[in-house]
Amino acid sequence: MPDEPLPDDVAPRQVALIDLLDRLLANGAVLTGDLVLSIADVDLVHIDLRAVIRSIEPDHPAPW
Amino acid sequence: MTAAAPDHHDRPSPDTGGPVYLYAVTAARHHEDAAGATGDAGVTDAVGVADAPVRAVTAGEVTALVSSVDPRHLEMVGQRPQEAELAWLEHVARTHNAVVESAFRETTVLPMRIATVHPTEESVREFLRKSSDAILAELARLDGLVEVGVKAYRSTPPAPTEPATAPPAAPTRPESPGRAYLEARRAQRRARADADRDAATLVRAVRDAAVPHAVDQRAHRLQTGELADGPGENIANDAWLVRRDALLALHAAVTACADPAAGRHVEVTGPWAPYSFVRPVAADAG
Repeated sequence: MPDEPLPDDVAPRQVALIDLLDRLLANGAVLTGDLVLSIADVDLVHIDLRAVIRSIEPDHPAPW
Repeated sequence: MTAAAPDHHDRPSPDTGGPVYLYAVTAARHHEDAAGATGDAGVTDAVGVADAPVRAVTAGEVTALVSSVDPRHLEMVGQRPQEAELAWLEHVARTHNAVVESAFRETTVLPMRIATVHPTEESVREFLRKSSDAILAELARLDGLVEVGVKAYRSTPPAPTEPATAPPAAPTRPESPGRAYLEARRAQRRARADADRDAATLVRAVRDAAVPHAVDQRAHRLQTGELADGPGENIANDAWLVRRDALLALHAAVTACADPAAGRHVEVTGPWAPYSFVRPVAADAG
């Protein structure tokens, strides 16, 4: 991978989940700020998946 | 994680009235889709979370890509076995990225954070209306720019891990095990310091190589854990914001810093939509 030119189109290559999670969980995207959606008493406007991962692996650091 | 993909005949109607998942926001494309006043018919080919079709929701100058999401899918978060949660997370992450990418191929996008859900499509429209100016400003800022991931690795240093593998030079006297131990520790420390210096040098070199070609930079946390499968220890995990026409130059510059035989590795990912550089777009006050 390192020596190939960058593809114009990322789709054909399966991106690594860890790289995806860096971008999707850590930062980046737009937050709406003023919405609270509650279903079954769980706030779902933004589900903290990192917390989910933590809860699944209580004894280990997050797997990425 | 989800029922079998629905075939085209029983695809859910565009707006089920329930919660919708947001993938990305773009400028409205009035010219291309004659979707009428609401602009909601601009359905893409992309498939969303749990195989729901992705549709465009437009208000004024901006468009959101959304799909209906079954509240039951969300309720289950955190309540299933580990493997199911991870599979679900991967499904959502890859789907999210696929939708963002499909839009990014054609236009500037603001990727939403993963698992951003609005209670109704109308609330999305409300968000678009209120945030329109901020969204357009952010789109203008990111126009023509892409994100590139640049990761540096150091191969596991051959430093001694066992104090017992004593220093080669200056053999200590056998009757002085304490001194031998200290010598070994010192050698170990020196080796580690050398390796750390080497790592720091590589990180600096890679960043220096990237800077002239980039507009901005973010350092992600170093990749560790079971999902990290790079060629050694991850010592830099950066995102660079670059103009499209600078992509190849940046790629060439950073990969030139690699020297795999010496344990110095550089990996480039992307181009990505500018995930790491989007600023939060709060709803405007009025």
